[in-house]
Amino acid sequence: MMLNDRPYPDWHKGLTIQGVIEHMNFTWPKLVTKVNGQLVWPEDYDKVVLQENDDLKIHHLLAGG
Amino acid sequence: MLPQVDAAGQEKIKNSKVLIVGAGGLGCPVAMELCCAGVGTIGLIDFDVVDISNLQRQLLYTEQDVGKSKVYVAKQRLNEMNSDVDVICIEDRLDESNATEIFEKFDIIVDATDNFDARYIISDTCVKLNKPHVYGAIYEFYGQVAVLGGNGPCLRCLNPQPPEKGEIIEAKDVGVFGAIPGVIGSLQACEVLKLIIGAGTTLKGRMIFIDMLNMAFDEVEIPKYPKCTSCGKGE
Repeated sequence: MMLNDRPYPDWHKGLTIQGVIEHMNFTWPKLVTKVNGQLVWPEDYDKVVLQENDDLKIHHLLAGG
Repeated sequence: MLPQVDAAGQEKIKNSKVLIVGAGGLGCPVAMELCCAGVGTIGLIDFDVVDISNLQRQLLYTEQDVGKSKVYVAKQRLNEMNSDVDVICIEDRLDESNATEIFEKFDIIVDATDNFDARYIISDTCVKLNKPHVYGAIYEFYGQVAVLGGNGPCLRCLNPQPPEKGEIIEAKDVGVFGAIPGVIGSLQACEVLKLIIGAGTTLKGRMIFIDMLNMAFDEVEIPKYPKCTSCGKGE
C-alpha cells in the first residue's frame, strides 16, 4: 500500500483510513483523503478497508490566505 | 489576441464583476491579475490595515502603507495599473449578516480569506445565490485551488463542518513562504477569467494540491455529497 507516494510498511488486513490517520498521527482536523484517486468522505474514514495495493493520499484542507 | 479570448471574451471580462474576499496574500495577486486583465468591476472586502509583517507576500503594499486600510491602498494601486477598473472598497468583516447583500452585486466570488469560518460563509452564500466560489488557500509551502459553488459541489461536500475554535493553527501564526500566494492567487485569477469567457476546462468540482517545497502536484475530483447540508439534501 502507498501513502502519499511512499510505501506504507504497516499495512495489515482490516486496516482502515482512520487507522492510518491515527497510526501516522495526522492531527490536522480537516483532511482531504482519496483512495486510488477517489475522494473518501470523512464519515467513511473508519469504514473504508484498505487493500494491499491501494494508493492512499491524505492532504490537509487549508484555510490560510 | 488569443483566439480563446478574442474581442468577445475581452468584452465579457470588461463587463464582469468579481468580488475578492480578503485583500491579503492571495487577494493581492488575484486583484492585480484581474485588474490587468481588464475586469470591469472588482470588489475588495477586508477590515484590516497593512502590517509590516504583510510586506513579504502582499504585493500591493509598501512600507509607507503600514497602518493604512488595505482596501483603500489596494484600490489606489490597482487604479494606477488600470484606471478603467471600478474598484469597490468594502472595509468590513464578512459575516453571515452581510454576505448575501454583498455577494448579490457580483458574478464570481474569489475566496482569498485566511480562516475557515469565512470560507464556510462564502461557500454557503455562493450555493444560496448560485455563484461560482473560486477557492484558494495556502499554508507554509503548500497551496490549494478549486472551483466550488454554482451548481457544483461546495466546501461542505469536502468537509461538512468548519473546525472548532483553536483546533487549527492559522497560517499567519506559522508563516507562509513568500512566493506561494503569488502562485495560488494567479491560479485563482486564471480560473476566474476562464469562467468569465467560458474557455478551457476549469477546476469546477476539482481541487488541486501543490507542494511547492517538493514541487509536487495532486488533484481530486469532488463529487457532490448527497447528505450535504448546504448543496445537498442534508442528513
